[in-house]
Amino acid sequence: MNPVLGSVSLSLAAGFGILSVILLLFYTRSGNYRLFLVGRRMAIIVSVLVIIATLVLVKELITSNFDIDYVAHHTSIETPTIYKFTALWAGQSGSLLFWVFILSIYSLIMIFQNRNRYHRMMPWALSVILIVQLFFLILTIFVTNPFEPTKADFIVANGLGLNPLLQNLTMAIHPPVLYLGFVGFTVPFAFTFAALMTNEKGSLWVRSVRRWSLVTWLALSSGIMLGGWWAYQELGWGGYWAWDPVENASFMPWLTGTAFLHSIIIQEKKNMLRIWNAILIMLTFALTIFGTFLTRSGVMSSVHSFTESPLGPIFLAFVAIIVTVCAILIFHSLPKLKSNKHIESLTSRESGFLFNNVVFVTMCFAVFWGTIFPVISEAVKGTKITVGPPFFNQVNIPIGLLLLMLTGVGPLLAWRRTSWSNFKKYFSIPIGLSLIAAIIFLLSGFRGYVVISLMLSVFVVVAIVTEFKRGIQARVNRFDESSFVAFRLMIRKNRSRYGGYFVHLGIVLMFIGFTGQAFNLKKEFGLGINEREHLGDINFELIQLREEERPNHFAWISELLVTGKDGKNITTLRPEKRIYFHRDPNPERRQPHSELDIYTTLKRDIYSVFSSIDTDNGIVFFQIMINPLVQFVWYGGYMLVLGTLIALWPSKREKLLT
Amino acid sequence: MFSFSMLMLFFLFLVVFLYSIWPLFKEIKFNPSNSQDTLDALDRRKSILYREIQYIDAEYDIGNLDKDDYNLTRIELVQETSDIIAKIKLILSN
Repeated sequence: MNPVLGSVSLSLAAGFGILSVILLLFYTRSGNYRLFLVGRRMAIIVSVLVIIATLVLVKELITSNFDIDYVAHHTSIETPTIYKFTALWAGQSGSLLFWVFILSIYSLIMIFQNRNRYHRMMPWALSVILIVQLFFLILTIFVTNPFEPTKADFIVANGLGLNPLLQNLTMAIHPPVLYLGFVGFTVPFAFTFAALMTNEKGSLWVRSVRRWSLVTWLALSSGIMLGGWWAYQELGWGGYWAWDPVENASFMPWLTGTAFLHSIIIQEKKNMLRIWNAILIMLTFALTIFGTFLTRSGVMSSVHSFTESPLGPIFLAFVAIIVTVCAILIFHSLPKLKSNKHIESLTSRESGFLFNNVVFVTMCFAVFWGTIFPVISEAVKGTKITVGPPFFNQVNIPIGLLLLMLTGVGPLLAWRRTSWSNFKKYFSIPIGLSLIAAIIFLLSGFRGYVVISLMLSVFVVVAIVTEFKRGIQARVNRFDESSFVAFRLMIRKNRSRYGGYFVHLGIVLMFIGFTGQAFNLKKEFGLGINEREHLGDINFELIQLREEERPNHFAWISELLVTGKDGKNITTLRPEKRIYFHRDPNPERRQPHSELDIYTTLKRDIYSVFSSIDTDNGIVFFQIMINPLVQFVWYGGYMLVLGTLIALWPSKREKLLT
Repeated sequence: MFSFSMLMLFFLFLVVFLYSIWPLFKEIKFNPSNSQDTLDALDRRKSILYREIQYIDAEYDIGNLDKDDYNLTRIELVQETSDIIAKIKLILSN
C-alpha cells in the first residue's frame, strides 16, 4: 500500500501543479482574485503531496522494504538506521525526489511568508516554482521513479547496501545542506522572473530576493565546505578540493551567487546595476540546474556522479529553455531596467563592487570552460580530453589572488569617489604593513604565489581591522561610548556591512589554508610490526595490528606510534582497512575501504591512510601526508558562517515588519 | 483491504480537491490593488533611504566621504525621501 501511496501522491502533485499554474496564469490576465486563491491552495497541496511521498520513501527505506527497487539497491538489513535514512539521496531517483522535497518546503515557506504582500509578483513567482517542481515531478514519475517495484520474480531477502564511502556522518549532512543551497536559488530566480514580468524594478524586488539569496548562499557555502571536509576525511587522497566536475558544478553558482550578493548592495543603495543583477541571479539558477545535469547525466566521470542515465538530454533541454526564456525576458526588459545613474569614478566603491563582479564571473567562466572541455573535445575531436587540477590551478590561482586583493581594497574605497588624500590616509598602513610582511616572507625563503597570498592576506586583515577601528573611533567621538559598546552598536546598526567583514576575514583564513598546500609532504611505505619509517621530521612505527568483525564490515586496525625528531611521542594514529559486505559469498560484491586517521594541530595535519595489507608477510602499506595549515580552511569556514549569520540577523525594524 | 484503502485515498483526494477549489464559491472581500504593492515598495524605499542617511552620516564621521560628496549625497537622499513621503501621503489620501 505504502509504495502506491507514494506513487499516487507524486502523480496527484503533478496534476495539481499543472492546474495551479494554469489558474495563476489566468489570474495574471483576468485579475479575478478567486483564481489566485485557488491556484495558491493547489500550490500548497502540491508541496504537501511531495512531502508525503518523501516520507513514504523514508519509511520504506528504514523498514527495509526490498520490494521497492530503490530500497533494495541502496540499503541492506545490516545498514545502520541513520544511513538507511541518508540513502534517500544516495541514488538517482531518491535524490531527485529529495530535490523536489526541499523545493516544496521552500515553496510553503515562500507562500506563508508572502501571503499578504507582493500581490503582483506572487502569481508569477509561484508559477515559476511550480514549473520547476513539475519538471522534477515528471522526472520522478516517468523517468526514474523511486517507488518502482523490484524487478525480480522472487522475494528479495536482502538489499545491496549503501556505498561505504557514503557511510560517514559528514555525508549525512553534506548533501542536504548543499541541496538547500542549490534548490534555494529557485526562489530568488522566481522573484526575479516575476519582477521582470510585472515591471517591478525597485525596492520590492530587492527586498524579496536579498534575504533568500543570503540564506541560500550560506547553505551552499556550508555545503561546499562540508563536501571538502568529507573528501578530506573519507577519500584518502589528502586534499579537500580536486576540481572534480561535480565540485565545480557547486562552485560555479557559488561564484555568481557571491557576485550577486555584492552587486545587489549597489542596487539597494544607488538604484544601479538592475539588469546586471537580474542576469546574475538567472545565471546562478541556470547553473544550479546545469550542475544537476552534470551529476545526473553521467557525461562526467566523478566520485559524486550517478551512473549514465537518460536524464542528461532532458536536463540539458531544461537548461536551454531556461536560458532562452531568460534571455528573451531580459532583452525585452532592457529599456525599462536601464538606470539613469552611472558610476562617477573608477576609484569609487561602486567601481570596486563592479570590478569584483567581473572577476567573479571571469572565474566562473574559467571553471565552466575547464569543466565542459572534455565534453566539447569529445564532440569535436572524438576523444575526451580532460583538463585536470593543473589547468584549474593555473587559471584560478591568479584570479583568486586578485579577488583576495579586492576583498581588502573594496572597504577602503569611498562611495562616489576616493580622493587622493583619502587614498593616502587609508591605504598607506595596509600597504606598508603588507610590504613589510612580504619582505619577511621572502627572507624566510618563501617564493612565488605563497608570498603574494600571505602578503595579500596581511593587507586584507589590516584593511578590515582599520575599518573596525575607524568605525569604533567615530562612535566613541560622536556618542561618547566605551570602545566595547561602540563595537557592539556599530555591528548592530549595520549588520550586513560588518557581517560581511567577518566573512572576508573567513576568506583570508581560507586563503592561508590554501597556501599551506605548497608545503605538503607525502610518502608511501610498508611496515611490519615494530618497524619504523619517517617523513620530514616525524617518525612512524607500527606497534600493533588487530582484526575486528563489526555488524556491517570486517576491519584490520593498525596502530602507528608517531614521534618527533627528538623521540618525543606526538600521538598514536589508528587507520583502518575495512571490507564491507564481507559475509557475501560473492567476492566481487565485497567492498574494501580505507578508513583514515588524522592528527590535527593548527600548524599541520598528520594524515594516515591504511592503503593495503600483505597478510602472508604481515606487512601493512601506508600512505602518510603532512598537510600544513589545513585547519585554517575549516576555521575560515566557521568565520564565514558566523559573518553571514550576523548579516542575516534581523534588525528590530525587520522583526516588527515580520 | 486494498480496495478499502483505495476508497479512503479517493475520499481524501476529494476532500483535498474541494478544499482547493472552495474559494471559487466563497465571497471574497479582499481584492488587492496595485496601489498596495506601490505603497509597500515606497515604504521599503523610505526605510532604505532613512538607513542610507544614517549610513552616510557614519561614513562621514569615519572619514570615508569628502565633505562635498557627503553634502551632495545627503541632499540627494533627503530630497528623494521627501518625494517618497509625499507620494505615500498622496496614495493614502486617495
